[in-house]
Amino acid sequence: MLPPESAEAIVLRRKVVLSFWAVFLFLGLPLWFQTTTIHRTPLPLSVFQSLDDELKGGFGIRSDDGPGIRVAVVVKESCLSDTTTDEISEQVELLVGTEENRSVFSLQLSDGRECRTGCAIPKYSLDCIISDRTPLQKAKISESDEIRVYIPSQVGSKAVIAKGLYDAFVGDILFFNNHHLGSIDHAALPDTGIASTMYRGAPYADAVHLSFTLLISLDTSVSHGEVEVLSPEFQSEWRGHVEELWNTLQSGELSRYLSSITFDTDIGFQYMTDSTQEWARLEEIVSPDKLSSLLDTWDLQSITLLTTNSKSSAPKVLQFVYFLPPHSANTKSSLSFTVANWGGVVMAGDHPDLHAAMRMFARQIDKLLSPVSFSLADGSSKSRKLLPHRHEFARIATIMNLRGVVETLSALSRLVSSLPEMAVPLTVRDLVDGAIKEWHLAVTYLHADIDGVADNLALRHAATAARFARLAVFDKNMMLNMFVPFEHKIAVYLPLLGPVFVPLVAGLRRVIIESRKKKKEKEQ
Amino acid sequence: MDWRTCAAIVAAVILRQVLSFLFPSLHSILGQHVEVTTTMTSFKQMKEGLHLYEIGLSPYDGGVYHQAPIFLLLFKVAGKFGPTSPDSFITNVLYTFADIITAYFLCAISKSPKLAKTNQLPDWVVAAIYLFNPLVVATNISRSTAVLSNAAMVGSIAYACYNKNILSVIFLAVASHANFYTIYLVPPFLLLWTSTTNTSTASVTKYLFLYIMASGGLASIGYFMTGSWQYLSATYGSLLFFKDLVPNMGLWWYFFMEMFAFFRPLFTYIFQLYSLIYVLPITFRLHNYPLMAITCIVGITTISKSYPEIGDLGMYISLLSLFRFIFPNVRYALLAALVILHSLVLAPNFYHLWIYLGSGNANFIYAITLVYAIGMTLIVTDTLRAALRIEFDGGEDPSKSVIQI
Repeated sequence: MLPPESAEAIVLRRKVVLSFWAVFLFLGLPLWFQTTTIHRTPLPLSVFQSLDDELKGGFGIRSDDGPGIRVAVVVKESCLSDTTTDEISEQVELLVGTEENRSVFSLQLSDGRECRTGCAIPKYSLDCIISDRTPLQKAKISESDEIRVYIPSQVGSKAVIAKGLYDAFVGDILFFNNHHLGSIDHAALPDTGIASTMYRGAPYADAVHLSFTLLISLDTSVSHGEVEVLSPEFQSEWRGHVEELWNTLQSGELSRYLSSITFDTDIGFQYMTDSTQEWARLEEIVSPDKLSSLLDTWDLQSITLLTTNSKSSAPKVLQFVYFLPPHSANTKSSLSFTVANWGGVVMAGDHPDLHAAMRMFARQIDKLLSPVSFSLADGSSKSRKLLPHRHEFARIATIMNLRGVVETLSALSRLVSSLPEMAVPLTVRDLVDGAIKEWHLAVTYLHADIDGVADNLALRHAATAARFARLAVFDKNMMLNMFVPFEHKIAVYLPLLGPVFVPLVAGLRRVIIESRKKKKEKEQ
Repeated sequence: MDWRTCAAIVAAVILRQVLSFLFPSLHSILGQHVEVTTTMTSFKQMKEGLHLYEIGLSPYDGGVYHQAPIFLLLFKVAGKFGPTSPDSFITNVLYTFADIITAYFLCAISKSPKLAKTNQLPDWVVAAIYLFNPLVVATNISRSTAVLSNAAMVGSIAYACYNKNILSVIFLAVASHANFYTIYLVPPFLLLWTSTTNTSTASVTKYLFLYIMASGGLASIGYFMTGSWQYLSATYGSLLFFKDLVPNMGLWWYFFMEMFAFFRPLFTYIFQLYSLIYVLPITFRLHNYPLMAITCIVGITTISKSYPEIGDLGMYISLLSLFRFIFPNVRYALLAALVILHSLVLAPNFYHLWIYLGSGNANFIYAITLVYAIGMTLIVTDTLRAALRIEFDGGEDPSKSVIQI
């Protein structure tokens, strides 16, 4: 049996136990709380809802400037008896002039989302309405390419004809309508979310994507940036080559087809990148020499992957440049942009069917350039030209980005609300504030600068806002400190602190018992 | 110093020179072993830091150099006398001198007037235990800067034993500046410094103030050398927050490789706290035996520090050799020795299997580090228990105040 402890030994033991506890209480506990406390910076969740409400008001898109487009309408003779041009014109104007129809339009996206955006009907002027049996020469229809001819699908009263005309006019604006382009999967605005499936999710890393890139040259004398009308000579040459492609596919024809593409280096082209939606010089990406060398090395026997895409993860893209020469002689100061991936076919596998691919590709080009064609009674044919509007691209892309920002921030608020134990660092708050600020700037420019497309300030701010919102959701500090269940924490703390805690508690217990004993002895 | 001690020293010098000149590649081979050197003591990284410093760049940019600026100063001065490559003459002389001076200090502590004259190992044995310890020799040949910081620490103890407290404070400040964990020795050193006078608040405050001033002075040297306080984050910050995640003989790296980022700060603080929490209790418990308290704390930090190496074990064993008195009461000497031996033999093999051959994995080397830690824990607890038992038994000398262990 051990001899009793001396008083000095008891005091010493008490000091040792209490020093352990002092370090644990004054250093350990505060550090424990400090290192395990989840920091949640408050986010302006109520502001996110107001952003969504602001979007619902819609934004105008003007495309009615410039010369009016004269339209000749061909209807069935039976409908013409009680219909006059003036009456139908009035009704169309009535429909067009309705503020509601003019200001807000619902754009249905391929993924089911709806974007309410404004649009305006171009200045179509009804030239005449003729019967389908009336020879065109007698109808005094101008033979210029600016004449459009519509054949309403429905027959009936003038109200029906007017409505049909109105729908057709409105449909003309919507370049993303399925009917125009055949498949929405092949139509895309850069990073708009409408469709860019050729880049995102493409499973074939070694596929060759024959992409059709539309280069549109703009004359700066045109203030609102409308695209020049295709010159008939160029279009017929192009159509000729397309028809050739349709029937045959020989190396010789393909070379001739490819060699018909011209590239004027004197004109500065700007290229809207997919991810940042910023303007960059096209020459930096595809120089004329590089394009020529790419075309020269095209080998049909074994597909050569010719990379013109800066994204390493995207399938290889060969850009066919379709160049529209400017209408006016002033070509030196033109401003152009490309609408990337307007069409294209993805070929995959070791031996893809180039025949079928080129056929589909030619069909896309054909549809893009002349989507509607019809034959008149005299056997002549007329085609309708597509007039893509650059500023509409920009505005719709802006709206898509703004929509994306709202959805991303809403997702962030749902994420933060549903996971009360997830950290929200200060960086996330900074990014959210930045996104909201850029969002408001984009909206301001959208409202104010309806014609100012030269700098696309609204698009730039919207793209920045979208980027900030994405960065906020995927902030690594937030994701790294993801939700850790309470039972997981117990599983970690118990083996870490338990072996230390047990002797501490035992020592403290003994100290307390001794103190009480001593106190009792003193009282006695 | 008797002839046997001199002979031991001469033999140690010859051994080091022979190893250095006959096997010049041994420096780099051992320098690459994670058991022998760490990122905090590596000579190669010190050379890189020195090169950056000499060309005018901050050696602490880039995350390569994590050692104290005082080493830059030392090797910059040494560089004036010749090249400072691992096998150069100057480096050889410097490291051999560091080992010799450490052995000299150990002998001085052993002959300290405060230490009991009975049951002490002869000086030459104490010197030989340090100089011919394979762990110490390997650390010296690898040119680990731990050799220099250990020399400063032992010098501090020796000066304190001979009541040259000011020098002891300075040496301790240098050792703390070079190796942060030496700061844990301040409480027992305060007992040592104030053992000749009354342990009053004034004397404690005086020596604490001196220590803080000396440390501040050394920190300022670092500031003036590098031009900013950034070096504190790169040196002590890297050590305390375990920024450089590399395998070593410690227990930290495996934990931090596996854990979630959520728990990382907590574990960092808990692990550092685990080193710190024993300092005050041990100082209180062994307040009559500050040298023993110092040795215990050195042993505990060897187990629990973030970047341990085998040189720390060599140093601890050498300090233990000063307490021959406790050896009869040590129970698990053979077990602990075999455990340590097995872990030291297997560790480089398992590391080689994992890293170079790819036929092992991290669990191999980590298991050995666990075994190593168990062996170290056995030694520390056994020696502490032996010391407390001797205290309880009253010791061999009836006058306990004479015997200082």
